[in-house]
Amino acid sequence: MESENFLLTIAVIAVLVSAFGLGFTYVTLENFKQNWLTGFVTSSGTVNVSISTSAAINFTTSLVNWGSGNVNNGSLLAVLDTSAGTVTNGTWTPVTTGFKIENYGNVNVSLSLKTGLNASGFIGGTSPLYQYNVTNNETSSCINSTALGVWQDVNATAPSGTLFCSLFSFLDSSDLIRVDIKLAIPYNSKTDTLTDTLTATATAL
Amino acid sequence: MREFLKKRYNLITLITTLFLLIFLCSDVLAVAGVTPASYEIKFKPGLKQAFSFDFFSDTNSNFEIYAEGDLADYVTFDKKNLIGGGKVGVLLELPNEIDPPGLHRLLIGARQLPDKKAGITFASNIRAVIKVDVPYPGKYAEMEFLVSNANINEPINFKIKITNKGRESINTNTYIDVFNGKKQLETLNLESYTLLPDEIIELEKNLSTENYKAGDYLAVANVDYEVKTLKRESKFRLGELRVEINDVTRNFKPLRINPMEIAIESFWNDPIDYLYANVSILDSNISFLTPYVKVSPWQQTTLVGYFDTSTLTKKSFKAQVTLFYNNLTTQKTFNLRIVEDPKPINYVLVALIALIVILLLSLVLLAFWVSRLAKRIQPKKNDNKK
Repeated sequence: MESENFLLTIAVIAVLVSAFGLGFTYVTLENFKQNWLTGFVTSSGTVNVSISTSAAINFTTSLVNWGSGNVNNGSLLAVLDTSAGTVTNGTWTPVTTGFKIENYGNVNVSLSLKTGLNASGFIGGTSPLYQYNVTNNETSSCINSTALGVWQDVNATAPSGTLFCSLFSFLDSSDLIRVDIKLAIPYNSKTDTLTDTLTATATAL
Repeated sequence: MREFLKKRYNLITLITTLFLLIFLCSDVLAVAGVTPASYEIKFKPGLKQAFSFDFFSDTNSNFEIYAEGDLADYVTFDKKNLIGGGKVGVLLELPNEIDPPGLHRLLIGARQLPDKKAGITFASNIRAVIKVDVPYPGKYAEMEFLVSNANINEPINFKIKITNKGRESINTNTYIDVFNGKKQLETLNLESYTLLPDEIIELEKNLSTENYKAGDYLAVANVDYEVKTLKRESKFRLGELRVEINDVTRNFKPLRINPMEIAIESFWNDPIDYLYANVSILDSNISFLTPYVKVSPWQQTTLVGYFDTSTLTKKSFKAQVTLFYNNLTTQKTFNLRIVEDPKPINYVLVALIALIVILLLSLVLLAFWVSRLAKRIQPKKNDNKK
């Protein structure tokens, strides 16, 4: 008899749970139909997208290092050139990659280059040479520049150095420039490890 | 055992290669930037406003935050240095007066502090801008003027944008003078407005071209705002459905297929979808067509056709060029000529002549030498006889 009551209680609980489950399922489906189903027609919709401006540069080479070496015996001067990828009258390892700078943002910027030292401060000796040469790696990347493709002495004095690109484009097909370095190291130059920094200043227009 | 060692060696090689690749790549690619790139505000005396700049970099370099420009003294930062990147809060507290008026650029920069490595190290210096527009004392306005081209009998649309950049309201009186060369054709008056400081207004006016001929004109917009009259000039063109033949290739080679270039110019302000040329060589049965081209408004372009000069008997001839487009034609006749190729040098003949000349010279020299020798021998014989 006790077992029959127990079974009856279980059966009543099962019916109650089923009824609750039925109700829950109904409410959930209604909610799902009105709010979740993608095919359900709604009266209107608004999409807000806000895109921020960004000024950014990407540099694919962060160090130009010819290693250790010396001027050949009997030579007055060794020339190290990243654009030609050569070392003349010296025993350094040639470097073939200059600095490549890409406008990585979504606005045009201006671009200036400055070094920490000039030729005599960096290399020393008699008639040293420390020059850079900026070229478009992609056509029309650097606009309004009069100094493209010309070797010129580095600028270590002005606050941001020399303004090379008054407009450095962000358009994907024209947003890449290359900066090559040329050193002329005389036989009586400094003999320590030589270190300098080339700073590229990108300013939003 | 050997197999095991070989597998282990390959694994070490692979791990070493991956390590080297990752290590090397870390030194060859780096990004540094700032967002947003700029803010633009209007100057108000004593304005106090906060800005936020998000500097980012994929290196763990140290960056020094700084301000530059003539308003740099009015800026304070919530931090002076960043490692890698991060947000920088900028508080700008402007004075009651800024001189000179106009647009001032306050630069907010993050300067990378370089690592000391042998050689030349690259460092980035990224600068965002806060543009502060300082109004001019008294009355001051700026203007822009835009004009569109049109076809004949279509209206020309003028747009004028006036910005009050002064501290006082201005009353504007705007009009546009239209010129053909130096002759003034008419004046269009636009509505007069009162503009409060910083207020911008855009005016539009259409010019009816019913009495105008196709051609080039000049429009001069004038904005009179009590203390000054601003002027801006802009040329505009009225088009007609006409395509001109400017020139053709004049000289051709004999006895071969020659290209003929036809330079054309459209005077229509809409595209012409289908244009081609038919060229007839007069007094002959030669004629040919060029491929058709699409011509943009006011475009100068070149058509190219080909013809054979083998059957032409005269050195000079005439060609009639006819352009076909939009059920219209343009026809022009040109004098053309056959230009002989310069004759090639016959190197065998040249060598033969040179050889003959050398031989003749040698003979002359030999004769001269023989005669001198004979003269020397003759006196000796005479002496012997004596």
